[in-house]
Amino acid sequence: MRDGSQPFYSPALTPECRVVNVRREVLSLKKYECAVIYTPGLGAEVLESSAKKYTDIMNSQGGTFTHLDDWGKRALAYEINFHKEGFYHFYKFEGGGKVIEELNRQLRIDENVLRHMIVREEEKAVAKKKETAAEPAGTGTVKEES
Amino acid sequence: MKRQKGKKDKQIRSRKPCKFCKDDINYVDYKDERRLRRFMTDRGKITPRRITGTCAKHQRIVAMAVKRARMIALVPFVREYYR
Repeated sequence: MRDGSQPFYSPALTPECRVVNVRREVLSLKKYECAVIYTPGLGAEVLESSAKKYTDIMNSQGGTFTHLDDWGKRALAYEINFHKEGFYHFYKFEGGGKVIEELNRQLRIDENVLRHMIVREEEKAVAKKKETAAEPAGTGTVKEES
Repeated sequence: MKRQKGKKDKQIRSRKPCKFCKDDINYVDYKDERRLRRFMTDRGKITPRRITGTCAKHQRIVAMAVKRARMIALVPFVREYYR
C-alpha cells in the first residue's frame, strides 16, 4: 500500500543502486567561490539578510557553505549601472550543478546585486597549498595569500 | 643612414626568467589586485609575455585571473580618460 508518505523506489532500483547514486552525488561535489557585488546604498541589515538567503541556498540540495569573505564597501574599477562603489562579498561553498543553477537564478533576479560571478576553486592550487602547509615551517616557500 | 648599434645589442639579450616558475606558484588569485596590476599596462591591457618574461603556462593563468578580476570590477577593462 502506498499512501504517499514513503518515497517510492521502482523495483528495478535495488537498494544497492540507490547507494551508488548517492555516492555519485557526493563525488560530484566541487568547491566553488561566488563573488557578489551589492549596491552601495544598502544597510547592514539588508546585507546580512541577503547573505543569509544565499548561504541557505548553498546549504540546500546537498551543498555546504564554508566561508564568507566580506570586503565591505569598495570603489569599482568602472561604473556599473551608474554606481561607483559596491559591497564585496566572497562566498565559498561545495556543491553540485543544481545549487549553482539556483544561485545564478536568484542572483540574477535580485535588484540589490550589481554583479555576481561563480568560479571553480582551483583544485590543484588547493592541493598545493595543503602540501606547503604540511611542510615544516622555514622551508622558504613563498606565501600565496595577499 | 647609419644603423644604430644599440638596437642590435638589445635583440641578443637573453630572456627574463619566469617569476612564477622561480617561486613555484601555480595559481594566481583573481582577487589579488596588486599582483595582477603588475601584469597589466596603465591602460588596463594584459602585458605581453615578451615584456614580463612569464612562461606560456603562467601567462595563461595570469590572463585568466585578470579577465576574472575585470568581470567583478576589481580591475578596469579600459581606462578611457587616458586618451
